[in-house]
Amino acid sequence: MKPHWFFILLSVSAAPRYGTAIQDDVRELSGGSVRLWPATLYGSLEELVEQKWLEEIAEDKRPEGISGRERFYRITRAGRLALEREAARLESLARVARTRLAAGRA
Amino acid sequence: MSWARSYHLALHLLPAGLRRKHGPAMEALFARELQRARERGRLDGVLTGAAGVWDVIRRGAYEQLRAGWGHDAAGERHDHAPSEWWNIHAHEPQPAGADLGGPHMQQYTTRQLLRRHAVSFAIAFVALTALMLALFARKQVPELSARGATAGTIAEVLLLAVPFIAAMTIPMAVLIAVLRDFTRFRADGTLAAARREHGGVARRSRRVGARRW
Repeated sequence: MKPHWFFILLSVSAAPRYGTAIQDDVRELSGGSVRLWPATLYGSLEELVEQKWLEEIAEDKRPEGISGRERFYRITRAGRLALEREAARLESLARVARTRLAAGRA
Repeated sequence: MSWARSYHLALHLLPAGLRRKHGPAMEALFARELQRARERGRLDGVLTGAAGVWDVIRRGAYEQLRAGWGHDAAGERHDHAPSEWWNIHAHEPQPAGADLGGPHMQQYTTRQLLRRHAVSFAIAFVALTALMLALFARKQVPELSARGATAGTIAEVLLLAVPFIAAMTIPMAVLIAVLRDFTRFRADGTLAAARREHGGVARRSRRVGARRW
């Protein structure tokens, strides 16, 4: 999974969000190391919708108190599964790295 | 030209579907980023503007490749069903003048051709110019720095070198764009189908050449 896809999915996993809010959230989640530029962000959102990992929320089904013309996205069941798989893969990679580092120190 | 205007123009490198759907949101987000960067300083503003435009160029190239892999501008996949390419009902009695199979010649409008060429040319031109400018900078910047030139002077020298570099890269970009487009025509069967028509390839070449100039 592309790193920015991972961060986008992570951002919308808790609550539906729109483009600008995703960008801010990703920057915060990554400690400022991942900066999603507009074309990459909206292009990736389209790709994730196409993959059926995200879905766009229809205007009449938006979260309460939110209006305006922003397009809101929420994670799908398939997206959540993909995110869980990627998180597990990263976790196992981190475990291997820790084991190797510990073995190197010993 | 302002960064906002440059960004607006660069958006034309993106597929029409993506631009129509998200173009205004991208411009608004870019304006916000630019505003924040300018508050941090002038250099930050310039770097953010350039990075934003570069992001669109890069995405445009990526979307072009994606389209080549079978996705359209809005990201929908176009799997060409066999029936689109081969007449699967060929064993049945055919009416007079029926298409008896073989790849169909895809009919591009002049506008589509022009757009394809413009995108290919822009990508090739930007890539070649950036590469040659980087080579020029690699050679000149240390020399200028050694002579005590300021950052402003160095930037000016690089900027003045652009027209000379462009004089070389424009013909190269034209050649690359034409080669790329004809490679794609060949890949999607358009060229093979055109060969079967009287004057098909020549007609297509004329449209490619004439419309560019």
